[in-house]
Amino acid sequence: MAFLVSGRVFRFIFRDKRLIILILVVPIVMALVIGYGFGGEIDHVPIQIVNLDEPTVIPISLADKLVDFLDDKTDLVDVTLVSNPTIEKWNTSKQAVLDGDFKGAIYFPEDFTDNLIARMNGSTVETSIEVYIDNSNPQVSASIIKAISAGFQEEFGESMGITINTEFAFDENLSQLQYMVPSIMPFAVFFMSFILSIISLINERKAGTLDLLLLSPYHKSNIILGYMIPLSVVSLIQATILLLFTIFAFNVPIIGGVGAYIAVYLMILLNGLCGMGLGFLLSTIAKSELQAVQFIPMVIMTTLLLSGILMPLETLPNWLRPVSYLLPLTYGAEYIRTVMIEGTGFLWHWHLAAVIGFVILMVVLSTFTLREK
Amino acid sequence: MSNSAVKLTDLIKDFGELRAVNELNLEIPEGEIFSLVGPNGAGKTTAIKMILGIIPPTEGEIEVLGWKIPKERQKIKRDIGYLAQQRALYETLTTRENIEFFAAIKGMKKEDIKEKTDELIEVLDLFEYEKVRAINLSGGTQQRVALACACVNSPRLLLLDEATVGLDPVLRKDVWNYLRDFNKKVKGAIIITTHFLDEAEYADRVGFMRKANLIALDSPTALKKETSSNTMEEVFLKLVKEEN
Repeated sequence: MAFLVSGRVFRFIFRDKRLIILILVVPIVMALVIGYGFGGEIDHVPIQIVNLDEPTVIPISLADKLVDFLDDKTDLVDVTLVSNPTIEKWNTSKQAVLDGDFKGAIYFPEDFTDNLIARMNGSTVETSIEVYIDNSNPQVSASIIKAISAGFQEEFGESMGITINTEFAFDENLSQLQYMVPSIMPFAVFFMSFILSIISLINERKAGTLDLLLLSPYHKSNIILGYMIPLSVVSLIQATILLLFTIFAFNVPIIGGVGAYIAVYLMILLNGLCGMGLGFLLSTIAKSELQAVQFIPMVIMTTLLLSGILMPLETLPNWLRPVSYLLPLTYGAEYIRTVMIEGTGFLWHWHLAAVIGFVILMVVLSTFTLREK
Repeated sequence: MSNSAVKLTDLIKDFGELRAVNELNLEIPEGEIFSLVGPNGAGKTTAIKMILGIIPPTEGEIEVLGWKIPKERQKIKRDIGYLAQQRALYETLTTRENIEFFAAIKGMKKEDIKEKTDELIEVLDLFEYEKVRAINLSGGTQQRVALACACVNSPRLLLLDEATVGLDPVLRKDVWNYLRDFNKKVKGAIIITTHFLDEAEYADRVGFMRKANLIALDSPTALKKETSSNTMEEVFLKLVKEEN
């Protein structure tokens, strides 16, 4: 009997070509995603350097040597050197970090080399550099510190007496939880909405009622919109519960006033709609329940590992990053992180447009692919 | 515009190597109850789905209420009713809610929906199940609710795929009586597929399908006369014998 059953199940699987392709492709995609999502080092972190060093006692600048090391001898950071550096430009660089254009900035004072030489000659004069770091992602900021330390070690040895004055762009006491929450929240709502939509449409098809809906004189986009409205209410409820728990049970504050709350709430909901739209699209493409279910782990793992939720995008190989930028959660997580950690208040950012665009694209594509089978 | 409800010309449907419908030529005028009879797998459901534009034909032409199908299927949607073989109902909705929902998605006006639903509940003897959810109804009752949903918009073309399956003989007779009354009122065409050969008696015309082919087409009386038979079952057996 057991063999009879397994024989039937084997036939069921192997006679569905699309299912076979999915069975083979899903683990490959997941392996790639896990391998590259978890396996990468954080490198090529963009930093800006303001180098004012002008040595008077020796002909070479020791700051230049350190800059050369950061620029050429390590992959941890990608250096952009500020031309015609001035003290004012250091403030501009710090603002660029706050704006998210760079993850860090380094400032070498005018007497950097001279002070170092004086110290080597027995003086007690202090030599210091200023480092300004975007600490919204602890792993990224650690990479910058690691690169600077390696540079000093490599170029000057250990006991040079250089002080690194590190200043963090955001709250210094940022915990791992505070870093993770902004990205996990939209992911959770995305995930719940995705499952809900993919299963709902499969059920409608299985009951035979989808064929009847498609025989209605109204345009078929109404079916997708008809699903989106109640499922959005579900997303709204889930997002509210999640947000309340996060804020009050785990004490993760949202700084930036009412505007910040609205921004976070809106982005979470938009990510819920993205998950819903993707669920609709994949369930309209799938020809059976089993095919549709195969998409679930693929979508979940891909978004979890390639959207900068668990690991920063900087850990991904360059060739894989375009995939990240196709995923709405990349924008959702980044946006919410910016709002929650940097305290921007309501933020008009193109990330909102990217996510709204994804929702519209999914609705249009699902409407196009929705048909009787 | 032609007064044919359905006109099929050299209609063929292949599923890979399998021919499901072979060179089907058929014209059904408005006002007729046409029964497509044949054993399971004869190609009846495939023919119905092609008429609805759910599946495209491999070859041939389909005209429904004067419109080319599947190209112009949007034009017929308001004027058709369809009962699928699998009793498609929303399990969590009650009998009344199901009928009202399908009326609404056909674009009916609110006041007409209420009136028509009341009428169908009475005619199809669904009163005691009006507030019962579909999941809790027996198969036969579900079938009647599904029939009500298909008829609710008084369609000019009603397609019923195995409408009487799961019903006891009394209820089957009642359904046919209802369809007769319905047809008198609406004056549209009804195409009903069935594998109950005796039911063919109730139709104005009968098409016998077997192995993808239409093997006979006429009124029940004419078919019985042609084959010197007393029942439709006898007609079918003689036709099959002749074919072999």
